[in-house]
Amino acid sequence: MFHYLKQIVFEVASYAVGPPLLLGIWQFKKLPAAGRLISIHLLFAGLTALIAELLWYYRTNNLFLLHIYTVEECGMILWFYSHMFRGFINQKVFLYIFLSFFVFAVINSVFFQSLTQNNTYSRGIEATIIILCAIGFFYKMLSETKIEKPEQSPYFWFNTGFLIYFSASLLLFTLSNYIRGVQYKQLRHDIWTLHAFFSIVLYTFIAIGLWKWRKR
Amino acid sequence: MEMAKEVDIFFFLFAGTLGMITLAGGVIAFFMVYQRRLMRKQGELHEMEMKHKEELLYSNIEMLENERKRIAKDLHDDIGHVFSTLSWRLRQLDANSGKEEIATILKDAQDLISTGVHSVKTITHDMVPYGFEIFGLITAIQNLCDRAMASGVLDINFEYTDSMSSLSDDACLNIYRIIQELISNTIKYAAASRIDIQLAATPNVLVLNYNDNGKGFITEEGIKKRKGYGLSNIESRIHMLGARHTYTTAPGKGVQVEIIIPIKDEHGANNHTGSSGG
Repeated sequence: MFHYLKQIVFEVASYAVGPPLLLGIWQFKKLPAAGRLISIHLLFAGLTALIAELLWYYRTNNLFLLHIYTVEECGMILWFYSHMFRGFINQKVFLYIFLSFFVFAVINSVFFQSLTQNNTYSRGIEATIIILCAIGFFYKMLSETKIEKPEQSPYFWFNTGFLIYFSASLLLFTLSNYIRGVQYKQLRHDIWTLHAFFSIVLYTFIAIGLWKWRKR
Repeated sequence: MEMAKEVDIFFFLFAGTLGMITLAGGVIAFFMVYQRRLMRKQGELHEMEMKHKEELLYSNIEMLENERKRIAKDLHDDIGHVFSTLSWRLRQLDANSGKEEIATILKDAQDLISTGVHSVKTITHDMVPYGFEIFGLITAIQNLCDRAMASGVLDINFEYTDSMSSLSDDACLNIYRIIQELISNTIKYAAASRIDIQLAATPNVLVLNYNDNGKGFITEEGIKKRKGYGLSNIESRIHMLGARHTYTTAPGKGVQVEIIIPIKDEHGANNHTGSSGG
């Protein structure tokens, strides 16, 4: 039973990016800049997942994709938050954070965690940055008190999705390299099932956010 | 052994992830609850503000209506009376009227016209203070003080810095009306023997200090009671000026009012000091 459940989660996770991606493409023109950034990121995430599947099919190590995806994801989400924090935090701050992260990620991939390994350090740092941004964004929303019902705001859903996903994945990202041996195969599978579940949560929340825009 | 280690890592990861999720959930729940509470508070504040604005609006309308009634009454009682008497006197003139009678009627008519002119001046003076447009705010306040002191029971000391030129006519008229209302309240309710008025201008603000040595009142009760007696009028004018005010009073301690009026003009104030009355 549990095995089937895990199988379902894995299967669904592969296609979870689909609905928000379609919503993003469908209404791309009428989306504000922040929404467009999320849509572009979804497109990138979808393409990465597709290439990863293909490489997996041909039994080729696809972990280098994760190294590229991590930098792209962090960059796009920071760009998204630079729009969210406009008038609150200087946009250059986000650029500097991204550039620092980019340098760190490159150094990590070249010297510490090669392209055939999980880039857990970069993923961990990325998750921490996004968690801080998400908490900061809630603080900003509270201090502005502009939105009466936050659940009506697309940004609330994006932010909540990021906070839940990166909070839940922080330890998984950080510790995944410690369970690389053959003996941890089952454990690794369980952990990545958990990660797949939170990916579904993230993409569902992004889809809800984009759906809210459709109603505007 | 390996199995035990795997279970350890799994539980560590599971518990850690659960902990992180709980924290994230806590942040989101806190945000939702706090946001709703903040919005509710803001709504209440907004409602109170709207209610206050509504009260000020009603007070303005009432003030306007009272002013219209007063003008109508003055026109009816003074000017109307003058014209009806004049008309009655002139109707007494006919071809058979003697020279002496004509002279008397014309003299009466002349007197009535003088009375009418005087009445018109008095009525218009109440609408816009005499000399206000030509001589400015200071002279108008000085005249106001002189008239209030004419009874001999009240001593008014008016001090000012000579820099009112940067204020608009509307602002000056509002300041004049506020002082007029304050003096009127002192005369009506305070049983005071002395009033001190200071108008001090700085480059950015004009500070009006008004003190009387009357019987004062308990602030909140008195303010509520007197809302209908001109305090609303003062408050709505303060609002129009975009000014801040503090009202300090206690039984037996007189009334002290400080009104800080922003000066929108960018030119600096010219602080020559003058004084009047006292």
